[in-house]
Amino acid sequence: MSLEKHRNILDYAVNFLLRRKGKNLATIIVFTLVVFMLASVVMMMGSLKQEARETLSLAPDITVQKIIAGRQGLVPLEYASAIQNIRGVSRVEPRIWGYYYDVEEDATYTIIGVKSLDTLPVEVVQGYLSSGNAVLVGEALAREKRLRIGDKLILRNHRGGYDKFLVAGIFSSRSALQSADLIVMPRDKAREFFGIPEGYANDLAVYVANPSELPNIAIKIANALPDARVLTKEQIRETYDAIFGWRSGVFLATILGAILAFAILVWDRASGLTAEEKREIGILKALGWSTGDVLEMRTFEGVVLALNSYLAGIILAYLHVFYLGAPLLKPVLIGWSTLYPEFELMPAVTLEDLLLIFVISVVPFLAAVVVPSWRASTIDPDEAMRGI
Amino acid sequence: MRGIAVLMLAMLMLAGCTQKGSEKVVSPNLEPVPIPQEARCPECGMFVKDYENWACEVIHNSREVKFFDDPGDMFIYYNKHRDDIAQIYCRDYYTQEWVDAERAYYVVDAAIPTPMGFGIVVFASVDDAESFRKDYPSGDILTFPEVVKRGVKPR
Repeated sequence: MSLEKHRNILDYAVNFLLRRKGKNLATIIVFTLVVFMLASVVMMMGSLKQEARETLSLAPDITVQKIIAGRQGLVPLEYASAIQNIRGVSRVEPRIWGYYYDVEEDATYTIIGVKSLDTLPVEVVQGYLSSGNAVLVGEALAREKRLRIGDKLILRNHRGGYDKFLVAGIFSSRSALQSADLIVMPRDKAREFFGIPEGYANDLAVYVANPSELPNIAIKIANALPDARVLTKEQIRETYDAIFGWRSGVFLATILGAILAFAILVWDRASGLTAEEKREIGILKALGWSTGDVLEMRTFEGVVLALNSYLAGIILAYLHVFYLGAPLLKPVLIGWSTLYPEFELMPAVTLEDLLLIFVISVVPFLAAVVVPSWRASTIDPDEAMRGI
Repeated sequence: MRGIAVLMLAMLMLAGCTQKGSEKVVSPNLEPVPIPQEARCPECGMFVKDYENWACEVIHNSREVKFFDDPGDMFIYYNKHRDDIAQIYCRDYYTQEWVDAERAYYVVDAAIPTPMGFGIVVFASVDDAESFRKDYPSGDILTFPEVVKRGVKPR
């Protein structure tokens, strides 16, 4: 019959909650709000980090640039053969790429030259690949310029003339950040368009088979080519992490107020068992409830409040971040939001994130509900009812 | 409080139950096989997949494959099961391709950091081994039988 007993205790707890509708509703609203803000930040940072990771996964193991008078210059292709001779280097690829400012749209696009358009690591809507001036464009760019597959794209080249390209495909990549403003064209076309002389490239992408050897190879390249800047994937990753770490710091500072308010609320509940609540516990004990029963009742009560608010907060945050594009948080990310006005956040929520939010919201709340009741329920019912 | 405990326990169980026991892997035609996620080194017990660029594979006469996370572990295993081995592969340090371990060259130097600290690095060609030794001048270049004869020990 013990199940029946628990059911009754639960029943009592629910009634207890309903009796104090106003107070509990306020708790739920504040709690939900705090979980909502925390979860919004955590989900947004998670999503941005995911974007960065995906961008990085396409980055070469080592990027080699040439530095002339402290500025980046064109890399002569002899450098590529010098690097190719280092043992452990599996592939060196000279890259032709650059930025293009579109006066009409007041936007900057990234133009990348590739060896062949049909061997791209990104998903492509197949189109007129065989044409000589075929290009692939990013989704955001296509939307802005109202381009469809088969349309012409006219760009101003370095000589001041106009080059006509045929849109052969539009990226439908999973990750919007890395392909939103992209134009991909064959390497020779890109060289011609930018006016990069034969025998030079913007930078070299170096691929290494064994990650353990990567730092050694980076050192060997730096030693062999003194005017080269050698960037490993690891260094780029650290830079990303630093940027995101700083941004999440700013975010957390902005919601610190909310967390403080929550702490005060919790403290209030923890320290302030009202005389009425104390008396109620006293009566229950006088009626024959054990300390365990009282605790169970209070735990049920706390769990009902906390889980409802937690779930509501998480769901609201998910909708806010991934369906509405985090309008409440976006202003803080100024650089990013001006670069990508149409950029959508990809849902990336990990169990760890959810657990983190759970631990910093639900667990202290439950403790705050249960601990004072435990203190109250261990004192003598007679004392409790007299209201000390 | 009981509620929290039950919840935590449930989450722990969820996280823990994805692990599977390792199954036997066979290579019917003595070709190298991909390293399974759950394969452990029979000598040191470490997950091999985490150190894939140092991996070795021993194929028994029964075609059963064992995976190792350090060439040194493979040599220890080889000494124990010498008569029951059909083929051994190790990853070439530079190219990361599988090479026939019995024809490979080994740079041996305790200073080289390897997963189990044996300081043994595998190369398909003697040129590559020579080139690598420039980074570790105190190292020796040995063939498979020479390593077996000298024996291996962790740092």
